[in-house]
Amino acid sequence: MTIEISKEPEDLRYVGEYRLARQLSNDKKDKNLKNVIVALGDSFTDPTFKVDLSWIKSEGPPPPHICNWKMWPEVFKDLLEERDNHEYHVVNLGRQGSGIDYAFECFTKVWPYLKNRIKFVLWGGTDFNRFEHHSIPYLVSPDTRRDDFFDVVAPGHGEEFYRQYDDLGVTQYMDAINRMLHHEHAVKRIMTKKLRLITFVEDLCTSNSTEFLYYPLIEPFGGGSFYKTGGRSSPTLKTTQKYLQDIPFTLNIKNNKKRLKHYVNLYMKFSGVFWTSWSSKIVIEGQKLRICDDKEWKNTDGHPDKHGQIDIANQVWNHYITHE
Amino acid sequence: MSLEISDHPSDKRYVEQFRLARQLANDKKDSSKNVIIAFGCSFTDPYFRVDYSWTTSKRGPLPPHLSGGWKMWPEIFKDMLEERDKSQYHVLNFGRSGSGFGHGFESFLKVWPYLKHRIKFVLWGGTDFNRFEHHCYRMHVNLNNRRDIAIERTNGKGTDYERYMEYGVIDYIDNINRSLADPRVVQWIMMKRLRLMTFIEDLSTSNGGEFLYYPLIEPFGGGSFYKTGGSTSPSWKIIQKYLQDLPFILDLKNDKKRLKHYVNLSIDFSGTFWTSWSSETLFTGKKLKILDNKEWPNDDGHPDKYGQEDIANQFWKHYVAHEKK
Repeated sequence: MTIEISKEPEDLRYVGEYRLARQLSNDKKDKNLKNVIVALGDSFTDPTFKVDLSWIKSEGPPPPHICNWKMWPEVFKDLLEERDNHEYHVVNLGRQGSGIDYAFECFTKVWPYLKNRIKFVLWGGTDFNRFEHHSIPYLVSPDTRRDDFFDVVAPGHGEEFYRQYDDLGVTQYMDAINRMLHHEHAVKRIMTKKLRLITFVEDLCTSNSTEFLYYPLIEPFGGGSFYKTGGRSSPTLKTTQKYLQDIPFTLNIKNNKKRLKHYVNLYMKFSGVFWTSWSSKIVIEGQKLRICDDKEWKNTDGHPDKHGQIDIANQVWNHYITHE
Repeated sequence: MSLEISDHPSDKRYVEQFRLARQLANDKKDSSKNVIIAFGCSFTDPYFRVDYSWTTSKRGPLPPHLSGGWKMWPEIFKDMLEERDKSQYHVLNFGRSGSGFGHGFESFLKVWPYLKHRIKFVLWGGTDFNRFEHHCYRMHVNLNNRRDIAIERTNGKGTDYERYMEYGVIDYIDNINRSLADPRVVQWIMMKRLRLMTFIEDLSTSNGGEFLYYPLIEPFGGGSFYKTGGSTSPSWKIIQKYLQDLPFILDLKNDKKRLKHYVNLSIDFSGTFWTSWSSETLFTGKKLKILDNKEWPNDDGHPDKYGQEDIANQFWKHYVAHEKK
């Protein structure tokens, strides 16, 4: 068996990571050396991430120093190498716009071939509501149909998005999903399904003496409202926390608190579970860690900048060594 | 960790299997590797009964001996295994009518972390690759429900039209069906399903267990979609052709030992040839389906009691033939 490498044109910039994975899995010399870090996530993790210049509001494109830096899995690797004094390899399968299912799929692509070499699986959690189109490699994000998306987040791109969604037959589907987000059972169902995937990967890793760390970098439901398309608002963080109390993932963790070691910034308190996302951290502490925090080059890009990536890596690292 | 059991009304008849799974997972006295887990659609579902509203019996509902309730193939397979090994096995049958590959995979995810030490066999009755679960609602979406024949039978709407409208999937389904004319789309869908299959095969074998997959129905249901702007489903021949380029087949060609996991998948005639349960009956003229009963005319193509035995026999023969290889 060998690791597959996509020939799809839209995968072009990601095949380097799979080539590396294949090379590591075929390496006869180091075949039992457990020194591979597999990273999963979206644009917060994607090693090929670049600021989408067409979306930002600056008078000109931002200079390279605010759109090119090491991503957090690479920074984490540096911390690990410094401590352990030996080499690790990062296979970063993060991809912008992707959701939990996509990350899981990436994991299934490499695990059978690399499992003997994987020391860490690092997962930067993303929006639970994203999914991949059934028949083509297209990542669907129902959140892009929210009321303020085309005015605030991607001004001037509304028609282009709408046309693409219509062409792919997903507009009605996305709107139906967004309309259901005020139903407790629908939100719980989505959370249960995604957290089941995460639990499964956690179990595989621990059974394989692999470290597993999951950190929800963005909120599981993107926020915002969907009144224009017949819906209401996304579940708030408070609502999400409340629903989490009843789902198997949380109930199991409550019975086995040792599992908290796998979940960065997941706390049990205030009669329940509390998630601190990267975004809420900066809101609370006033740290300037995002691209949009740069005052010289005005923009609306909420992704972590160089300092944000270091901050994420530090949080994952601190959690790891605290629980090690 | 504890194995989850759904409290959703639509899962009511299926929770028994999950209860048994939890019981086996929690059994402190017995930790032997003697559990068989089975996945599939109505061809596997232990609660399958003929849907009278779909049959065309002119004499009313089929009598009980024709409408289901017989032993399903995983149970028959277990009987053969017990007879040979002279020891007890437990079957957990997670088959569910109308479900696709995704549902089977999800059931696998639910039980594997808790039961892996006890699982000796993973048996998979392959179903349509084009069924999927709604993103946030407990509903199996079947793209074949919009094929021309279904639309003709239901005054231009298609089976489950109202539900599909309510949950926003009509456009999505029609779009996917229209795209089936594109070889890349068919290959993409196959690749995704077969990748997960490979993943489960690897997990099972790495865990000292056996894995057997048998595509009981064709991966693309067949029929045409002209009424909704599409053309026809990919034919059997086309599917075989497309399969040649997929990593799944390329890997199998390089490692023919893996064929032991795939019932009736043979690599010959310059390519891959799958014999599905249905085509087996077509070629040999065996009477193994509910509709083969002439006394009670009906059009239910599911395996009857003899069909279930036939499927189990094919699994069993394949298993014993490859066991020592």
